[in-house]
Amino acid sequence: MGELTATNLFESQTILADHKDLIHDVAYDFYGERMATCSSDQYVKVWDSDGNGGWRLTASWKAHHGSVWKVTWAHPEFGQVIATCSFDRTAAIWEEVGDTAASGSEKGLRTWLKRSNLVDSRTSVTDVKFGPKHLGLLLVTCSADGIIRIYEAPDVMNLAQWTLQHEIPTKVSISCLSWNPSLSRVVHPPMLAVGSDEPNTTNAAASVQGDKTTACNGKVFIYEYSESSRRWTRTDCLSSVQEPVNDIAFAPNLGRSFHLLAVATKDVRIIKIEPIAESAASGNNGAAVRFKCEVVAAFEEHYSCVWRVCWNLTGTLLASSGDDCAVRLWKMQYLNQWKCVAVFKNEPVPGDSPPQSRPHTTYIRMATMANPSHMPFH
Amino acid sequence: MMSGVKLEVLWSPVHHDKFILWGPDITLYEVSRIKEIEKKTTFTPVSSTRGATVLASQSASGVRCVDISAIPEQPEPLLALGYANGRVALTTLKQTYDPLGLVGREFSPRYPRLCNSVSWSHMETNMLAVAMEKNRSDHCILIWDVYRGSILSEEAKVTDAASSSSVTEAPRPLAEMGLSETAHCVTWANFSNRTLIASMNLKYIKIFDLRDLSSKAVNMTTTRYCYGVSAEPCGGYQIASRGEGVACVWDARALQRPLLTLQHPRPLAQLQWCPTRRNLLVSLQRDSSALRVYDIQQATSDNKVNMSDSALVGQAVEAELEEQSTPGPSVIERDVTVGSAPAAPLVAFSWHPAHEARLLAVCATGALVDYTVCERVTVSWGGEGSLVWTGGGGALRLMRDDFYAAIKDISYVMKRRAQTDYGLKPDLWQNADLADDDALSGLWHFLALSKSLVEDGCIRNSPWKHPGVRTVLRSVGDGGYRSEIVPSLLPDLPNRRVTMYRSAERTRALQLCGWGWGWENALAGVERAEAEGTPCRAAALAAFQLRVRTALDVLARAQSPLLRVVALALAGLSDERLWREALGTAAAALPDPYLRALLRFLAASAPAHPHHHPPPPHQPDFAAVLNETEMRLEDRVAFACMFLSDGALHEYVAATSAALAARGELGGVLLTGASLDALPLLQRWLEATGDVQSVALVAARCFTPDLLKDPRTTNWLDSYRSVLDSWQLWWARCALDTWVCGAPAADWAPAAPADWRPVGGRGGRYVTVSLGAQLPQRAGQLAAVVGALCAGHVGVWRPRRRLGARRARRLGAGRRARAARRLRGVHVLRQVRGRAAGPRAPARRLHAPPAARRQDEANLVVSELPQAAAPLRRVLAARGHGRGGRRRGRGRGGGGGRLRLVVQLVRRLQARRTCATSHQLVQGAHGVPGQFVQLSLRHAGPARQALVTANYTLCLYELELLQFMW
Repeated sequence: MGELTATNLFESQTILADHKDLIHDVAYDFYGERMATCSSDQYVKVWDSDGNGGWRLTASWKAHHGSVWKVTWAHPEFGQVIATCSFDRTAAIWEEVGDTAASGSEKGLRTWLKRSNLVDSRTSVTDVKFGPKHLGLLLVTCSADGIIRIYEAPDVMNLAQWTLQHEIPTKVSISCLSWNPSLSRVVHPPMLAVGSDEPNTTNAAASVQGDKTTACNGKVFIYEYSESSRRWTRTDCLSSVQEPVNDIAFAPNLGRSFHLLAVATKDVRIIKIEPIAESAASGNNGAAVRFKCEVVAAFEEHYSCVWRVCWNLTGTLLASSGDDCAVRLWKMQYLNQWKCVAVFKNEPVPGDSPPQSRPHTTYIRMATMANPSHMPFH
Repeated sequence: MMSGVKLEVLWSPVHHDKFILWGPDITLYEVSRIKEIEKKTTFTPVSSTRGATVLASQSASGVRCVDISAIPEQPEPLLALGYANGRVALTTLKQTYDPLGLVGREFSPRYPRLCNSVSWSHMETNMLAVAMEKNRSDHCILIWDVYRGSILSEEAKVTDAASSSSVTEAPRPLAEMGLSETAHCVTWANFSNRTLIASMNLKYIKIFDLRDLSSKAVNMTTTRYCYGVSAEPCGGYQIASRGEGVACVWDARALQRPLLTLQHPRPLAQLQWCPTRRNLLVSLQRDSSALRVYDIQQATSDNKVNMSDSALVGQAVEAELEEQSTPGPSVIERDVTVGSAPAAPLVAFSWHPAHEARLLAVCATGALVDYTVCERVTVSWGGEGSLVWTGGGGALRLMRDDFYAAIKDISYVMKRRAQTDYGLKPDLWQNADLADDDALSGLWHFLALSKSLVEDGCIRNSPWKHPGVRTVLRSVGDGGYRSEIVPSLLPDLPNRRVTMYRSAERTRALQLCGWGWGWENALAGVERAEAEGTPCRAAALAAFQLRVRTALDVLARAQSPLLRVVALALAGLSDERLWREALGTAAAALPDPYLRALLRFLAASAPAHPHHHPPPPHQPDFAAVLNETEMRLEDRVAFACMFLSDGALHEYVAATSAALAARGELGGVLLTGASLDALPLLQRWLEATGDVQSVALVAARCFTPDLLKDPRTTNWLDSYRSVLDSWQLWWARCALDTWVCGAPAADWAPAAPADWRPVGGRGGRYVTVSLGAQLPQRAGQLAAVVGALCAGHVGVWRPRRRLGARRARRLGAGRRARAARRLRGVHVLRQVRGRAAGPRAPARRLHAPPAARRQDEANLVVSELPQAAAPLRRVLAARGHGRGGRRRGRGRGGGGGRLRLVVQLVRRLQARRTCATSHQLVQGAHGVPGQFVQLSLRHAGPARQALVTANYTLCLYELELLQFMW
């Protein structure tokens, strides 16, 4: 990145979200034109881009009775639909009702209707994600008691009806999950990765070891759907990840023959998961290893804890956030080499002015890094 | 070392830049930016940007407890010091103006004993609570009103001296609690005024309601973990307390049992609620360098709270949750290491009263750390490339995609290219310039060359549209050709000869390499190379054509004197050992690969033998030349095609091709062409660079139908389509599909006019899509475009005039129809005739687009051929698409067995948002021939569903409505 000099300044825009508590998740829609935020204040807000870089709040409603952990958009093919999950043990599906006839102060505020409430979980629902659209309208949730639930709307026109298709117990607390977005159904069967935040106590390890199917104390599990048995089975457990996992994300596949999985744990990890050809794998009656997993990068710049990871559209840039209060961008160089290309710090000088009166734009310095291990912002 | 000495730190609740550090001395500090104070005074750095300066200090001997008053009028922090004898004194450490006359006031209990805790009320700032040890005839908690029940210490001395019996002068506390009890700690509650929480008698937490001083209602609970009570700020009802290694959270309204019991491996030294965020409790364990942060999660079940915003909520929050029992609270636990360095154990900390998540911690070494506990930052990428993350203070921080340009990510590059119609230009070579990348540019040029050779008839019988060198070399029976061996003399070096090989296949391969056969073609290449400023390459090319004289001339004309020296060396070519040794050492030192190759080629050429001798079987070793990998691939391959024997050439090409494929080098397409062999190479290249765009476009443009069916290819195309969808580059998307389903006629130059975007289509026989009156069109802009009739018939409708949605609604049904008809002045921009659709498509006459004469609603009208009619009708009936069914009969195409399928697409496009999604309604459905494809139509209005297509994969794409902003 020789072109990037320390004088490159980029403007970041600040939107006051006005949530009364911590914002847990921000999600863009498919086009990047709408944004949904959810927070511990139990509200969900939807923001619309005005096309010129501005964002306008178009809906805000109390969605749950507890902290709302995650919000996610369905593919626009299914309409303007979002799903939320919460500490209140439910996940909900919301649909926007286009009603612009309202006048006066109501104008511009959209109504989101709760189409369905998924109440199967007995514990906090920690993550929710819509499946890739070529699989239909699928939704997966995971909960703190370690049960993954896969719902399907058999009639995509009727969002009120969701059938619980699969219930997969994992025996460990699950904090996050990610669908494999691969579009190629032939090459890659439907696949899910889940991450566990179970602390590494001896008890947990023992219980995990006790179970034969989980004789691996990794924290990331891969589940695959078998068309023939019509079941989801755990096909792999990434033993390289031993610490509690906060977030997990598959990179958009974009025609690659392998998958890239980013894991937020003690460090930012990028794991390459390469399916092994069927012929080689089927030797051992299905029990054979399905994947070749390789940790292609592990970055410790976020001190001891990484909170979130997120890929860009092409899976060539990874953004991560962690305990150092910074957002870091990791870029794929030629041949799957990764390095840090930018660091966005939240200003480390809070309190010099109350947050409301903070300048509306701040400038962020792009890092020039010869060596990714030398971060100038430390 | 100061360890062992009690150290505490406390921010002033009113002076946001001042705190006290309390150890052997009590010291008042002020925090400022280092920049402002570094020149003026000495300071203790507390963070990278801030330093603390000492304002005042006094000895803390005898002081047992300290609290800072929240009286807002106080110019300097007013401290209440609790002494070992029970006396509580008010002081400011710094001599200053004292408007309230509080400094120096003292409060003493009746019987002297240890003072355990003092606490200022933050609500009624004059109230001071004091907790003391047990005395059997006195109370252990005293509440003082500092304005009233106090004496000045000087007066106290005076009165002591004068008469200690003057009872009337003795200050009276406002309230007294806990007769003959011990209070370890007191604190004021924040959920109501005059409510005091105390840890008492090693086992109680008591809550005193002092609003009515006569009753002093007490609420209490018994617990071992009763120490260090701390009340939740912001009016919450939660109370935290601690015992050995356990922290408890209580609800002040239901004290029977703790809400939470949090175990710690080590004894707890301190427990404090974060004052700036609710439900955040921080504990410090002894000898620990990390703070443990608990984010307490609680589900509320009180529906009354929701009523206020029910207008917005609608039916959002239903009562179903009430039926379940409210889940108990739980915590998200997190350890925060204060400061970045592996810190020494912390002994105390204090939350800043106002600044978000800021705290000051004291290490055992006495060092101070001003630290802001970072909240979970969540981060997300948008499809357009913008990045958002959560900043402090509930703000969202957005980074627009301009920073992308600086990072030069492939997604940015791809989008830029897509916007310039990269890969979609009718002539392949036109795409090369758009790529702005050498490897890609070379690829497109090669594909163009290969295509032209096929079209000119130079290459025949190729199974691929764009054959590569490997294809042509084995095109006649796999490797079954035999080359003619041509021993040649170097005309300018008569004592040298080389063996050249010749065959039709090699000629074609040379053409693919851009060399051509024969000196005329080669000379052109030499001159071109020289003109391009690469004299070394020009010379090498000439020499490979055995024209050493020309090579020397080229070098002699060169600017660099070095090259002229090389020319000298070449001219002196000989078999003398001296010359050969000199060559061996000098060649490696030459800067240009072509020069090295040139020298090695000449050195490898065998000495001429007398004519009557047959040529020896000896093969000159050209490996040294071919190993000059800095030479262009085409030159190396061309060289191999001229001088390697059939077997060696085959081997060389196969090995090179495999190596290039393994490395994912795009140049390898020269060898593989757009063939099956190219798939692994392109796959590898895609994986190395992430550029799915070029790969998909090459596939769309150059692959044969068989190759397009390969799962890898479909995956590339699908991925790229999805990317284009996300960017809303419908034109590029449409054009891509048009290329995929069969190259359009040569005169079709797709260009996206600025004001319209078409809908790509493909496959079927006849598809009409028209959008009627209710579409909120914008003047002059295109409402909808339709794609794809009979493989490549693209028509474009452009409304002649605009009809606002509102007006359309006002009009009655009949008038609406008339109005819509006016709208429908259809304008066919371009028609393209493609190849025939398939075996079942007889050369049926294509109907010009203005077929839709009668649709009067915003409907998608799909006409299909008779074969499809029956099953479609069946399915429609089964699905009960009422409106679709009703309209069915009205279609104009009733005659001729044509079914008009009315897909209720966009009935009410009332707003931008609706439109922005509605394009999705007609999403591409790549159906399997002979099967129905279900298209889900959905937008923000009432749900719609429709079945479209059948036998002929119908792809209607992205009505470009969404481009409309209003």
